[in-house]
Amino acid sequence: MKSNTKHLRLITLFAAVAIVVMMSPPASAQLGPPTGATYGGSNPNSKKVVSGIAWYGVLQDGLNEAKRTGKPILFITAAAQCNGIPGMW
Amino acid sequence: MDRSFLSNEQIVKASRDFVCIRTATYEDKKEAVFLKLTFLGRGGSELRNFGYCILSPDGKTKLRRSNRGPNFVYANSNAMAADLRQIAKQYSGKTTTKESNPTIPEMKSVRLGINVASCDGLPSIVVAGRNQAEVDRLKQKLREVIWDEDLAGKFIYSSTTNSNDLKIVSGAKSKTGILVIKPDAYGLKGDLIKAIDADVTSEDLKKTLAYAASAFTRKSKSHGTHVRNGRRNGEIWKTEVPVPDRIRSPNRGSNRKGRRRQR
Repeated sequence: MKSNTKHLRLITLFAAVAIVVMMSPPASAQLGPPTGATYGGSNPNSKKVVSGIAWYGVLQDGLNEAKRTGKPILFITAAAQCNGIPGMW
Repeated sequence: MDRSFLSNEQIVKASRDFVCIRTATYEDKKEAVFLKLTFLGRGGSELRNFGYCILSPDGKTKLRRSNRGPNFVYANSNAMAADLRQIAKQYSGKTTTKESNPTIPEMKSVRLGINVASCDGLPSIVVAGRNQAEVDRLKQKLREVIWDEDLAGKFIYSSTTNSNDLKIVSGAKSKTGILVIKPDAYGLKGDLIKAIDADVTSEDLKKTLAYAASAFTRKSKSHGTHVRNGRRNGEIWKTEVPVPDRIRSPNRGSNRKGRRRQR
């Protein structure tokens, strides 16, 4: 009887773990989307267009400019779509 | 990435002593090779959507280790600004910025430029000419004014000699000149706000762009609604480089431990 109960508990535990694993979304290598409302980009809280970082969008253009000026490079990459939907980083 | 991190006034100010590059991940095969090498190393697997690091002027040496975003490296934006100032100081004697105005920080294509403008909530500027010589003349005019503090970082630029690229911009068909465009919510289309002729003076160009930026109204978006409505309405973006499936990160579980923030 005791053995049956133990087995039942184990089966229940495995079943619970299996359900949790199956229900969990796959872990992602991608960084999560912004939370809450955003006006976009690196200035999400301003309704007005304000001065910001001027980004070179083409790698080679930026590298050429850095070489020309001798300035260090602040480098970011970001996907211009979220789950295949454009208009949001 | 905490997107508000980079809006800090001190960081924007410090960024002027850097060449700031923000590539659009998955939009260029050649760039993807560089990105993998920079952010994943030689043994790296799949390219991630975000990455951040600071590089030497030749782009070959990491001055700060790469990570998912600046907020993974610094405790707050003030710490980041202080670090940027410190790095810039090491290069201040070597920079040659006064030789000429910097080039225009362009996107690879009109299509991508309008999408990125929508992501950033900024107006897009397209330099449109009948040929490359005309585009180059317009760009020369533009680069004389856009680095002014009143205008820096307020527009997303691209250029074209192909009028077909402007089909996605309502009112811009067969137009040439400096075109100011309002992107739609999904960055797949845009409306022409202002077409500036090639014979504009620098002073007028600056005034016109400053007005366009100040008159531009940014619209807020929330991720869930944006993606849900986008899917429903078929607002789909095709990337040049395939976006990897949702995979388990090789560093998963070690990110938090690895977060050594500078204070």
